[in-house]
Amino acid sequence: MSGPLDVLLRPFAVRREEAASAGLLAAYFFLAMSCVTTIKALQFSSFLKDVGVGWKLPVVYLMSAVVCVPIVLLFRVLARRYSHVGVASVTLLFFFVTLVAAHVGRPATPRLWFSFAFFLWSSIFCLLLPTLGWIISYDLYTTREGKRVFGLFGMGGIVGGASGAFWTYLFAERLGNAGLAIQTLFLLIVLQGILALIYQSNRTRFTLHGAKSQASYRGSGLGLRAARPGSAYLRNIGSLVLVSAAVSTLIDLQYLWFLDQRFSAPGVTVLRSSAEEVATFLGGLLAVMYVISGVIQVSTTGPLLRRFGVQAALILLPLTLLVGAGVAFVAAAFWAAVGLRAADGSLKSSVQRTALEILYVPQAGPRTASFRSFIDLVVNRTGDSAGAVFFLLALQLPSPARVMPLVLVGLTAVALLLAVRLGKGYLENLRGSLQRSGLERRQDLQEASVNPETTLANLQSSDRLRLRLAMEQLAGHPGAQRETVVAPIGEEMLETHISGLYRRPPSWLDSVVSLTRHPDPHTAAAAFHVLVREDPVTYMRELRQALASDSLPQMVHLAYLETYFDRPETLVRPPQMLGWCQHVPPAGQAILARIMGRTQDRAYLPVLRQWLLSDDAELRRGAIEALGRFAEPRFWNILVGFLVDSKTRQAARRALACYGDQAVENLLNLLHDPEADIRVKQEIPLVLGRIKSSSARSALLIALYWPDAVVSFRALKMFNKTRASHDLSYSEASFLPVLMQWARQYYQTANLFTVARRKQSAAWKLLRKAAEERCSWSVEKIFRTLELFLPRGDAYLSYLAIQGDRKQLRDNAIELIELRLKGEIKQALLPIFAVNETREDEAIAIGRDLFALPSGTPEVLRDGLFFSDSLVQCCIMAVIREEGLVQLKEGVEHVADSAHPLVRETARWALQSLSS
Amino acid sequence: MLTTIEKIFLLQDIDLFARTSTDHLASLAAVAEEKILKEGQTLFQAGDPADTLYALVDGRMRLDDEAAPQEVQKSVLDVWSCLARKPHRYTASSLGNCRLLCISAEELLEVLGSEPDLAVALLQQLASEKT
Repeated sequence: MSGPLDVLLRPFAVRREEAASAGLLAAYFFLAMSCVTTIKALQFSSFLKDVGVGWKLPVVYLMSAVVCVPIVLLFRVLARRYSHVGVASVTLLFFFVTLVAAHVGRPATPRLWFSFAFFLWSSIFCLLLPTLGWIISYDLYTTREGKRVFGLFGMGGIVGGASGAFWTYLFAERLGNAGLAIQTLFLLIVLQGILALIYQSNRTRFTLHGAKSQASYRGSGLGLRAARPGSAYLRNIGSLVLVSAAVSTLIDLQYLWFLDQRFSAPGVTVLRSSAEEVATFLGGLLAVMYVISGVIQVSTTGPLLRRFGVQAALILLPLTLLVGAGVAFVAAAFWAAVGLRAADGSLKSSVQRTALEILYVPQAGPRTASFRSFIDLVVNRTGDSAGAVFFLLALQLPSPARVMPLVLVGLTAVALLLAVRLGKGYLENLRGSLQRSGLERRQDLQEASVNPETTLANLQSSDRLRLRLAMEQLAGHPGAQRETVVAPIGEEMLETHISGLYRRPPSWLDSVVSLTRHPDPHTAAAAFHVLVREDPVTYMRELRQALASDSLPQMVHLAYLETYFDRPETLVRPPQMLGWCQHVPPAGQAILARIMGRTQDRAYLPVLRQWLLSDDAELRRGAIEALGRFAEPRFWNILVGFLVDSKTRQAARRALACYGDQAVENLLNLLHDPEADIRVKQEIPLVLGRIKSSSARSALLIALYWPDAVVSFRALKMFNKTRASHDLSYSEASFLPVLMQWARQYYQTANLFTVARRKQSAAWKLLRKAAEERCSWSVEKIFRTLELFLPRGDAYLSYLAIQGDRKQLRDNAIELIELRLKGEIKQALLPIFAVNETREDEAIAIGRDLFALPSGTPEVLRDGLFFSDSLVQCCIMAVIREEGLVQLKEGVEHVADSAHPLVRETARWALQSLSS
Repeated sequence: MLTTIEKIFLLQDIDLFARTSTDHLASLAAVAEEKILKEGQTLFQAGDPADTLYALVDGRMRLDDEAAPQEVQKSVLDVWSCLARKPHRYTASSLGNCRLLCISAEELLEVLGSEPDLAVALLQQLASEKT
């Protein structure tokens, strides 16, 4: 049920339990920004009336930039040492007392020192008052919570700013500047009260966060040293902020200069109008700006970011100002300056601010946090100073009204270029953050296996796998890559390795020599391979001597020949081999069979065919692989038959793949044959994936769209493998339909999961588990498909990040995929990736709308019964039986003739109960 | 006699299969056979060959070994002996009527051989129980 509160909170995605705290903080921002706009109007109207613009205004800008830095640094030190709520409360008290003092002690006649002091005080007030709110918000909310609730605070601030400005516009002349100051004092008292309420309702969280933040600050000094930008990306952000601040200040001063001209008598810089009149005008303009800003924030920022991305959002402000500055240069009029000020004020605090905040996301971390404060403290103020200096210089030139827009054109052009570069850098940074996390994982694995101590420990291990890994590392080629040992031993080789005679034997040699006597022939062969690599002359001679005799050689030499030697036919002849067959056990015969296959000598065919019938599975596997190497059509059907046996299916896959392109057509025929065994069909993609040809890839595409889930998933896996090994790229359009199919599957099973969520019986429980598994498979399938056409690694690393527990990385992954996808597919997939962030029900609702899925329990079950795989169908029938849903009996009858035995059995079982 | 889907329902409540996917449960259920024991009947004696995996899905059983005897319910009996193909380490007898699902060690190993993910899920669960 949704009440009025829910309706109010929905646009900001604020949850009910967060409503109280979030509401108080939104009220804080409302009142704080209301105070800020009022004080801003007072600040400028007093200064313009008492002092005027001339050179003094830019100078006071420079002074406020200089003064703000130490004050804000001091404030940061206090905030690190003491409770943030306490510091905020004391700061409010300080502002209250000083404003009372200013009100009481204001000189009767305008004094320059007082005007300067009030201007500086106002600058600090306007900077710190909203900052206090943000510091408290960071204490109360995590990043993800912040992403949801900060929009509400921002909106509170914008509405507060607009209200304060409107109030000033309406009542400045009636209340007078003194009245506005008293009103601000009253609001400061209310703000104290709100702070107390926030503290009361979140006492525990403040204690936790306060302790955490103070601990993390300890010893970090002011943090400026750590804030140095470590990358070109951060430097570009800094540059954009610097130029934007300079532009804003110059626009502000230009506008005030025009205002001074408008309200002053010709040739006089002191205002003739009253301060209240100026405050009214300023308040009106601020109000309009805040209203526009609010409208843009609500209506444009989100859609702009979602539809056109961060780059477009970053470009909007400089582009608008560039055009505006061009117009101002031509017109050199007050209205153009007002327009520029309004555009800057409204776009900067909405679109530009949000886009800049997003830029930090891929680089989030302590260094970036420190850099951000550096930006706020130093870069922004430096930009302000630069703007003021530009203004001072422009005033010295003959026509300031044209020079200022000209400078603005230059500055905004620079900002535009920076925005374009940052947009590109943002995407690369998202990729970079994911790649770094991927590299960290890989490094961990490599360090664990390449470490010499681990290798030595592996060498002494009784574990066969560890032994082989160690020996492969010693031989210098880890993994499955197998280099060929050159057979002939000639003078050249002797010369090459003669230096070996003078070398000390390596420390591991004795261990490896003893391993050549290992009972497992393949472990012994791996050890022998290491020895051949170390000393080819000695050990190749030993091998030749062992194989030259008619008597049975040691198994280590045969296993070496089978696994590591490129052309075994140069060392063994059929009569020898056939003679040895009589004297070795089945395991040895399997080794001989594989050697026979590698020689491709037809003399071995009778014995290989005979071994296909052996009771020993290993010998059968050896014979299957050997026969495959001959690629003769007469063996095709025999080898296909071995695909259904779990003990021989891997060997059969290898054997059938040896047929190359001629296998592709046969496999497609099998796939289309309605009589063919489903277990054979399910093996077809795995065979196709082993064939390295374009026709095999075309056949895989057919398998990808095959209705059987196992066939299509295996085809997808094979596509991933071929892309990884061949560095192929596929077109996006080929895979969009299949992506939509996976998305539909996801929403369908998620829909089932939702109806099963709170049910406790065995049937519901099994259905829930099956649906949950299928949702996660659909997600895997989606990412596997994305990996086929997105830049290599993007989808894979994003998948790892989304499955992982690092929130920041997960956000980056979602952001990267969002930027890469377009249109309908983006609309369908994004709720799936962000299902942890959005409400599950909302994601399901999106899926229901997109794919016209039902929502009531019987309808969802009926839908699942027709569109799900066999096991889910069975779970659904069990639920129907258990719940006695007679209205679904027809659906159960429909699947009772299924080819799947489990479905048939379950349907009969369910129907018995429903009929009775 | 239980249908395959009913056997899956029963297997999903056994701790050893907590990490096993529903499809793998179906593979196990397909080769599992039902066995009913009356009160006081002995299922196996210590030293008997462990050639079958017994999942106690309903009722309670008493396990007697050299240490203190213990009662169990909803669990797999002497899984290590079955996987290692060694004799049973204890005697198992029923305390009241019991229902068991039995999978021959040979068939279990064949299923594990063809479904490596199932083997990993079982190993993970066994490891978590050991720790």
